[in-house]
Amino acid sequence: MQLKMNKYQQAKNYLTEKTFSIWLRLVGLTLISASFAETNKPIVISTIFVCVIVIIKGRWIIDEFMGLKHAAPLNRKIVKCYFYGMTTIVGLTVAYSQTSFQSI
Amino acid sequence: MPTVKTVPTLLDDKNKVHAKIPGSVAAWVFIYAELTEFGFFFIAFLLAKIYYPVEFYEGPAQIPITTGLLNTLVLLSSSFFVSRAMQAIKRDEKNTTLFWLVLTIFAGLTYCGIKTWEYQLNEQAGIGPRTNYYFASYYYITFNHLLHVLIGTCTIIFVTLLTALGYYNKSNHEGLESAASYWHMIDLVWILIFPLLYVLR
Repeated sequence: MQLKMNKYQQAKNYLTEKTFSIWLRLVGLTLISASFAETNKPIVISTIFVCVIVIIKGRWIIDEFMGLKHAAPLNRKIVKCYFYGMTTIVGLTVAYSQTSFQSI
Repeated sequence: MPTVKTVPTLLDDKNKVHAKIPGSVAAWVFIYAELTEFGFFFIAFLLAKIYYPVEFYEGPAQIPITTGLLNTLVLLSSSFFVSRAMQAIKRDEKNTTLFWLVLTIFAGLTYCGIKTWEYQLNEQAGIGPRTNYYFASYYYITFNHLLHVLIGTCTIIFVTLLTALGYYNKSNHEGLESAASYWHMIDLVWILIFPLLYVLR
């Protein structure tokens, strides 16, 4: 019984461990964003939603996986600015393309 | 009475942690160069999207989303494995580090296999780099990323061998950390490539 409890505790500890929970959340967000590819008519709001998902995923990878959360602030700021900036440019261009395409 | 402010010193634990970057400075210069390269690719892709809206609107629906999704999951998992390897080496657990690094190598090779499968599916559907501007951009970006994954996998194989030979431990693991940072950069770039090429139209 004690052994069983220990194994249960070990499994619980593993599942609630930060790196693993971040990985699970990343997988979940990826599946949600992939579902937008199946929509027949893309709309601007779905583009914004996908870009927000990308930003959240990027933030978790930079902070938790890369370990930049507790690293030199300049390094963290450069990588985050690049990623957030690039995602914003992508989002704005795709949204602009969608609105102009729909108006044709 | 004047108040005395506490000035942080170099020996301050908090500041010591903040002053460090994961890996060597040289590795980070290389990572920034790679990020800049991909940045130019993305901008070129977006400019082409503005000039050829129909091709870029119809393009993503013609490539298999399943392979793109599988590769995203594989790369996210590989980043998790590398992260675990770094945690293990910091605890001086050599065998655990090797276990996670071998899983990362396996993930890297799986990515290459899935990408090859995707190119084969495209070929069967009559799609190639010369089909239109969308596919020219798609092949240029994805093949470039594939090359980076291959370089990253070779680097991880190299640091795995060094770990097995006992070169890295709790206090000395800068090389391993540099390789891990490079691998995370590859994952980070793919996180943007996946929606750009497969999802957003």
